[in-house]
Amino acid sequence: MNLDSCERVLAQLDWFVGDDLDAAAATAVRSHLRECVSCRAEAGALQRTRNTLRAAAEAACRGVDEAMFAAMHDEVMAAVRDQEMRDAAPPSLLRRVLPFAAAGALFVVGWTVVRHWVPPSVFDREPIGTSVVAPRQAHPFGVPALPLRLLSDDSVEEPAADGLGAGMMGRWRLRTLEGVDATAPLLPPPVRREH
Amino acid sequence: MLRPEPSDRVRPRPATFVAPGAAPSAANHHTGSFAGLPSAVAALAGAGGISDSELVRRALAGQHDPFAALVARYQKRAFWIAFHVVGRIEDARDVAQESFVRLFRSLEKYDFARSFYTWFYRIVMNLAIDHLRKIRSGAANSLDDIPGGLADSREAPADAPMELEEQNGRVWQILEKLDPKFRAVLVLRDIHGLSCREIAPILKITHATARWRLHKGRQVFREHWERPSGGEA
Repeated sequence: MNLDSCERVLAQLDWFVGDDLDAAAATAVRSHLRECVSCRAEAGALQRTRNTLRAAAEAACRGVDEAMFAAMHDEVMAAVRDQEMRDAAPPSLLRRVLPFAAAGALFVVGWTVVRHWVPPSVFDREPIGTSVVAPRQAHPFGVPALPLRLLSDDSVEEPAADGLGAGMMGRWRLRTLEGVDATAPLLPPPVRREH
Repeated sequence: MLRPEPSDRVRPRPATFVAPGAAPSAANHHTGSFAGLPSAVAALAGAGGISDSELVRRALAGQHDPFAALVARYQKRAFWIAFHVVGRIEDARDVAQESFVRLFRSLEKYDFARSFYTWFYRIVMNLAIDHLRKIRSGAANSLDDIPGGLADSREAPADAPMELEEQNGRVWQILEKLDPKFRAVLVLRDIHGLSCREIAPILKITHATARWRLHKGRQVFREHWERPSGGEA
């Protein structure tokens, strides 16, 4: 027997046994099965398995009879009538009132929260640069309170006696006026000034 | 070449699964037995001239009997599909009942251009698969330590041969091991006889995916089935 045709038939055997092939294909498979023993055996095994499944499904079950189906019909119709009554009945007082009660409660809570609340305003702050903010007595992170300095207070930028300035401002002036490549005298060490 | 399958609208509703203990004609929902039902409901359910869509239309108009007729037409199928997926009678009853309640609640959403049973089976399958997953997740926590497991109601009658009983038990054990997505396709195709084209919209998958899952499900089932019994545990 041609192995190619066996392979082709085996691929179709499941559908052949399940009666899913069209007439021409089924005839071709049938004629092959008449001649090929191994494919016939395979088809027989498939058919037996299928028959076994059907036989088990059709085996009698205890308690399943016309009386059970009549009782089931009554149960189904009773359940359907219950469902129908539930659908038709107006919603209960609780279900009708509940949305309004929830909305009212939400309003009361919201009103209580916002009644004494004053929105912050920028006018509540001190104008920038006009005063020194009172030092904070306590800071949550323990940072020492630093007083704000007025912008007009140029004591920090006051040039030092050598004309080069002090601190960062002095260095800036040095680089701006003389250039980074210029041979500038070494900056004096920072001096802590006594106020 | 695979057989071209007709669309849902022209294909008659498949009815290959014959409920255990029922007459063969009971597989057809229009000629099934509706014993124990009010005569008006039984007449509506058995009336072949009244389609499912027409019953839905009448139910939407506020009548009770048409919906009861729909329940009568589909309760056996709903039960058996649920049973073959979840594997327990009580659970299958719960799933079937819940399916009808869901159906009633969403009746207004029914698209009359589509087939009713596809829509309804989707509800049943979704609930059944959800139920199965819930059972499995719960079983992993609480049922593992019960020796022998739960009592199985799927026993064959007392006069059935012992081998047949064992064989059926093994089939159900294998089905319980299958992934729900494979099991769903296997149940719908090989037990209930729906085509892959019908299964696809029920499970909200493509036709190709339905075919692949069916092929894979059969393959896995066969592998387990042909494995020696000792290896099953």
